[in-house]
Amino acid sequence: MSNLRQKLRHQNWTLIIGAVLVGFMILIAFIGPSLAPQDPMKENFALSVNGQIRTPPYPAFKIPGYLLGTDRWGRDLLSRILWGVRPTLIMVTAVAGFRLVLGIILGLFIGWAEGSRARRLDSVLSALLSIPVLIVALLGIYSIGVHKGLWAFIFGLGFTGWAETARMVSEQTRLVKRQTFVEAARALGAGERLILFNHILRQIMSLVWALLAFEISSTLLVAAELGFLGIYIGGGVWVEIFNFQVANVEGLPELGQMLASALVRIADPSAMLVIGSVIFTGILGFNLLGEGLRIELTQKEFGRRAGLLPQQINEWLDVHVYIQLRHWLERHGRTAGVVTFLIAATMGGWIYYQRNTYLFAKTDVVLQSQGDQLWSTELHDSYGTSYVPFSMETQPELKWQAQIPGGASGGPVVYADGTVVIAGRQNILMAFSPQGEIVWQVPLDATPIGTPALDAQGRIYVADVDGHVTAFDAQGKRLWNVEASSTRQATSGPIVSSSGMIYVTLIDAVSAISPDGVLIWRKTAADLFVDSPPRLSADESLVYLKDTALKAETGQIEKIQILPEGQILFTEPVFFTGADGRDYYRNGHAVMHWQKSETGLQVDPALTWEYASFVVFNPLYEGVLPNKLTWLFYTSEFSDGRMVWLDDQSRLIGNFEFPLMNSHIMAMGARGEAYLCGPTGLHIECVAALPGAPKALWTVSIDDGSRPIGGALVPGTLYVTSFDALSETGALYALSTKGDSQP
Amino acid sequence: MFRFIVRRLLTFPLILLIANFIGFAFAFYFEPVVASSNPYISGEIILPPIFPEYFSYISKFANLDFGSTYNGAPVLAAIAHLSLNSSGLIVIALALSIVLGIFLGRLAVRQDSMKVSTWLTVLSTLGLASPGFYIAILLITLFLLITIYGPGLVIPFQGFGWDAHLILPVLVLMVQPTVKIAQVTGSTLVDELQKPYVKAGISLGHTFRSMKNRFAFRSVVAPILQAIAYSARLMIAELIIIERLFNWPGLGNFIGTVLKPATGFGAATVLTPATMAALLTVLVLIFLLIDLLTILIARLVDPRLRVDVHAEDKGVAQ
Repeated sequence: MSNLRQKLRHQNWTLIIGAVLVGFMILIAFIGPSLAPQDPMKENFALSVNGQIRTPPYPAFKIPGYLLGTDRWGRDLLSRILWGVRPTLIMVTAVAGFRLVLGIILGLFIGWAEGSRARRLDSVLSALLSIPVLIVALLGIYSIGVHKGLWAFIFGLGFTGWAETARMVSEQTRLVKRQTFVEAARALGAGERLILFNHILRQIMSLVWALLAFEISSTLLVAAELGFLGIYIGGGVWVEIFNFQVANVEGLPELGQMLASALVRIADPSAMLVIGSVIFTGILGFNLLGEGLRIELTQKEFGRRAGLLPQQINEWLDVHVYIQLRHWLERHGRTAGVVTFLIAATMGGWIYYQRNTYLFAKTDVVLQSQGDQLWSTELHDSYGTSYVPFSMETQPELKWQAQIPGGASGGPVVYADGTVVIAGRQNILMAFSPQGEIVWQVPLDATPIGTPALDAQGRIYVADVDGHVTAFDAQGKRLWNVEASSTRQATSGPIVSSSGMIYVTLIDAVSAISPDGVLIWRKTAADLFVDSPPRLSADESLVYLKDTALKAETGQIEKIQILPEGQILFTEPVFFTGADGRDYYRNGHAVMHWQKSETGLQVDPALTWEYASFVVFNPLYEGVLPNKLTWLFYTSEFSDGRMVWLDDQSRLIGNFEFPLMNSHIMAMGARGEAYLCGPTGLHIECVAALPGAPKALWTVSIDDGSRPIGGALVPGTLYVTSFDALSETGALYALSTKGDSQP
Repeated sequence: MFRFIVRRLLTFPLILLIANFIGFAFAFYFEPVVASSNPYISGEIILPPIFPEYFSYISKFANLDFGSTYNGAPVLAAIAHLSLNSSGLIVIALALSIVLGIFLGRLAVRQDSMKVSTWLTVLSTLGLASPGFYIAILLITLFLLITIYGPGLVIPFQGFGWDAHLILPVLVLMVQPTVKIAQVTGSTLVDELQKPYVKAGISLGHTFRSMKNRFAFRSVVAPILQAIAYSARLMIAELIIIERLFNWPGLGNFIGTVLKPATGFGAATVLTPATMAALLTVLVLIFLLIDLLTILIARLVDPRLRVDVHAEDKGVAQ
């Protein structure tokens, strides 16, 4: 019994406890994200609990599904912690490694120096040691700029942080350099550099693990303190809450940064307590581990190569691995270099491929517009993809323009032969040749609404304020007129399915009209005013109006529950169809693919981005490109435009800010580029924004003080329509690339 | 001794001027840079040349004009006021830490084992690994719970006042310095007590206690003073966080405020060159004074240190 007690007493408990705590942290870093019960970025601005609506921050232990509560954006704290440990540990290890290398090198030189030089270096070192790391880190990080990310932290935290390591290393160096084996080496003719790096460094290397643990502990401490002051890697993300009102909020979870946001109200310190405890565990663990290692190593006989491994293993490694390896490298240095380069290049290529899979994805167009018309309805096709399988690579210039009486009601539609048809608000339908000459014009019964629609046979359908739809043939001859609703006006242009059925939005309802002008069904499908055309599902069996799916045949509502009711407050969910021919659902800023299978509804994990705090504004348009790149376009009367691209791993590929309010998306091109137009008040500005590029591919300005209302992209030409509500005027602009004409 | 103090003091103005310039230049150059990283601040920021600006700033020193803070208040008055609040905290916390630390350190050394007691080792390992902010959070939570579920507000945990308001910030500031001082006292005493003169003293009839507390202790004062100086510096760095958490209007809170990254449109104008220059000068002055005081006290207490450093360089003891 006493033997056991003796044994227990002589255990290096510091090392054991430290190792357990550090092991726990590392384990969380590895498997934490897969344990997280929720998406760490998913906001929840309102929750319905027992019939009551609550707003964040939600308290701990009180809301089901949010064990530790949430932060002020309603993001689950437990999940954020499980996700946050990994980046934090990587960051502190990187910074600590940098400090360690610097400290060891400088410590070696300081310890090696003799006489007055040694004293001077020593006093410089103690001066550096006396400056508080936090203050220097603050200044250092600022002088680099927080937005520079990890480098600012490595510089700021590494500036004085290495001094402690340097002191310990220089002390050790001083001890070792007086040993006889150093003298022997010198007597055998070894140079200073050789002795320093081959003999002394090897002795000191045994300390490295202890030093690294200490460094990680102190880096973690400073990182946490900086987090408290609101300084964390990357400096968060800038988002616009309202026009000219921006906020810097925390993006992906990282512990320091979470601490920064935890201090919202002093009266509710639970979030701060939880995050603080995690950081404390890390600091304590690494500290104990370092201390334990130091005890372990200093207890071993000095002069021997003290290491963590037993002596025999060390010797075996020396004889069979290190020495052999050195000899081999001396003989085959060049080959080794080439092989290393090849491995690095392959790995680099692989990483590039992994990060840019969308560039290599197949881009077969699955969905076509009816009858291969170039642009058949408001969002290019009846599925609402906005996608065209070509690009406009160079900056176009204005080729022609035409005044539209009363201003355009929406965008133009373009026949396969390039003829452009557009409706004017002074009850007129006009057709232009690709060169800008009027081919024909016919009067309309009432003010048209939205963009007309083209079907495979070239018939044109126009919806109007009286709730009627009128059909014309390709020569402008009136075919029929049908009342889609006697009480409601149309609020969007029509769309046409491949079987010729016509669908149109009437405030909150959808009407289906047969190709020969008979009203088939009408169904109220939304609670609110909807001014966008319906969209067809990829197989055309369903018609979507926002988040309602209707059977295309009968108009019956098809109940498709993608998310529980509680999660769709203020998120303006919509069903939509991707240009890849699959069905999607957007909820707030998250997009998910869904499909019906034999077992029921199958919903893929949501893709989203660091949108934090777009409280009021959800995306106005959304889509998925054939290469599976998801795009979200934000715009409103009050805020600038923003185009966001996500790849199928939910990585943010592009985040393009278009600083014009009330902007409009014209089309999405083959390279994933977005064609956007917006009013400045004096001009209409149009840009082509490539995913991932910081600047627009090109910018072009149209001399028009009104606002863009629609557009179409056909090979070589971008059509833009405008409307000015005050003067009731507007125009059609054809922007063509040089020397290019319509096919 | 006198020569040493004079020499030290003569270097002060130069060091302070350098610190002042660095602070000025930092705010002068980097504040616009920080502002320009704010994507919603447009337009190019054109800076005038720094030296004329700096000279015009220091030429006003003669009139005791040290510039103004972001809200137009004179820097000197603002910083003097804030320094007073902070130094109150530091002095009280440091004094208590010294007394408690030395007491614990002495207590942990016993004749029978001639080792530092395990309780102190555990205490110091835990104490040194506990960040001040964490202890502060724990205390705030504790007193919040007492306030909510207990008898009500026992100790105020937010705000300023030279009364019960002091208790929590002082407690938090004390933790690390106390264990550090205790640890250094304990370990150096153990080393010192193993020296032959202690055995000689005991054999001459002194008790172990008197050897420990009177003779051995005097010779370990120098390393303890080093630990105290270290603690004082640590406290100043901790102030930035502790004052913020307890909402104490001091220098640390102010540094945190002026250096806080801009989080909104036009919010980057808090940091003025004059403020930063003054802050850095004051900080450096405090560090220099702590350093000087440590050396002086060590020399006064430990007779072995009364040697002129420069004379020692030449191998001549005074």
